[in-house]
Amino acid sequence: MTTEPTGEPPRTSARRGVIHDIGYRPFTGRRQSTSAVALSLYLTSLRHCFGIGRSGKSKVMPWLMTFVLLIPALVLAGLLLQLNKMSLSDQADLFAPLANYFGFPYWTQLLITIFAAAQAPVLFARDLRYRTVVLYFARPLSRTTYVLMRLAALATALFAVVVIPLTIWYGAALSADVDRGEHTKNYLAAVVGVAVLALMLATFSGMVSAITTRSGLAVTAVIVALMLTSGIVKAVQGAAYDGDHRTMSFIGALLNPFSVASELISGLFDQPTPDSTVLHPGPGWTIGFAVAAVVWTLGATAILLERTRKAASL
Amino acid sequence: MNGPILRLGLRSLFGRARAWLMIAMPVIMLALAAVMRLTAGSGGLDPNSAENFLRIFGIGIAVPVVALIATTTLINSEFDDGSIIYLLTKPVSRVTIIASKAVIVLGAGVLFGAAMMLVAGFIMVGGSDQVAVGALIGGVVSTVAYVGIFTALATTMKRSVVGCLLFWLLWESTVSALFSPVKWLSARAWGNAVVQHIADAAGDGKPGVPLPYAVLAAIVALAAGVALAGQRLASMTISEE
Repeated sequence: MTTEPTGEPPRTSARRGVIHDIGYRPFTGRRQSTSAVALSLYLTSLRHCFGIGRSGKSKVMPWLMTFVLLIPALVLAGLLLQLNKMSLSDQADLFAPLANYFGFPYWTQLLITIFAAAQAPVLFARDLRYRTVVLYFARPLSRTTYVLMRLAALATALFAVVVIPLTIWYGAALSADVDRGEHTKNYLAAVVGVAVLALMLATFSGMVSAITTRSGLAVTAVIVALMLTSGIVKAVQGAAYDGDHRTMSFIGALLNPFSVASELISGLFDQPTPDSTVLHPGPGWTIGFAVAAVVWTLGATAILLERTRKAASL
Repeated sequence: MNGPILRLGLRSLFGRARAWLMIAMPVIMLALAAVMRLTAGSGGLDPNSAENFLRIFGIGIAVPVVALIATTTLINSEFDDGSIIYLLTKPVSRVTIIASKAVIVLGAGVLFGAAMMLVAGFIMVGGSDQVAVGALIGGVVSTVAYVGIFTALATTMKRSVVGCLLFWLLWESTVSALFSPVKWLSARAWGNAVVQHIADAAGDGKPGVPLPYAVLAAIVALAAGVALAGQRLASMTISEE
């Protein structure tokens, strides 16, 4: 790593006839710091998440999902404004679902899952598959930083595609005649929840992509894994709701990032749950879900790091 | 049907790691059923909630996932890696080739999906209210329909694995939950209707479509799917012109 330009001149001077020195002028300018390299990798990865700087075909999926995610939020925002015009503001039961902000990522989990599944292989599978990852490791950037920057980019993209519709919805709520305190509290809680969710989804889908290294397989595996566990969670929660087993319902909820995040913010910020079969956890289980979120994130990150290190050393 | 193709199909279905995912589905279902039975207390499990569970997890997840894995292993991946050519160049009718593969997929679906729903039903409520029998027949009906649909999709679409997956997630799980007329065209709704017709415990709500329609529609879906796939295979040329 030649970060010091002063180290260069003696080696490249014409006095020593080195066989590979074919007379090109070496780079003697200032080299950027490692953090600048990392920032540049982060920005490039974030652009690639949305297909910017890639082929037109790879722009279809991320932007389609981004726009489809806007639709429910715009509908909800429109409903808020319309109900406000009809002066039905005192009908609290109509407005209660319109303040359930974390319900939005919970109801649209299929779209968010497809976005994560389609974009994670772009960042994590292709470099390993085509062995271009060695080119990244030839830079003064540690392997851990490489993985963390990629993860940060994917998490930012996921966070953005969910929070932008939420913010439009919240903006509509503020201009309507509703309980602003409740809306602000629920909105901020949902933003925290979405951040936790984005981290869990990014690390999980990144891990699956790095393990499979084939993007078609990775897309399938991520969608199947997340939708399957989501289905299991729904079945368990439904059965537990019928039989009134709180513990079984909470254990079931641990299996999927969406239910972990919704239970976590429901317990942490005293939020309404997205569905009547999703129970409201007590303090003990709230801690349990916080631990689960950390385990989901750190466990997947550790496997991802290990996998990238091994693949690069081959 | 063609013996060697059936045998090859069986070997490629069970000879690789993907088979474990297919086996994992019924194992998870049976484990959940056992947990529900054990936590139900002295009164035993309510047949309605057992029936709901079998419909949500069995017909909603286990059956389509088993059918999806079997179809992608036997049909999609042979198209993707080009090894289907070795079958197509044999002096065997191409409709027979695809029908033999569909039979293997159907067998896997019935064995790992529908039959396991029967077992799960017995674990949860025994023979009461015909829940288990209803689950078996409903599982078979929706397996039949899924095999037809997936076979057709697998041979006609370009990125067929993702295509089949999105069909299941978007059409069967999302669109059919949002718009009720879709029940006339949904393998999941047909299976659900059969379970609700046969089981005495209706779970939540009435069956969406009449029993004869559901059975007939599933058979038509299978026949049409295999015919379409056979037609597509028959019109495939192997030479570069």
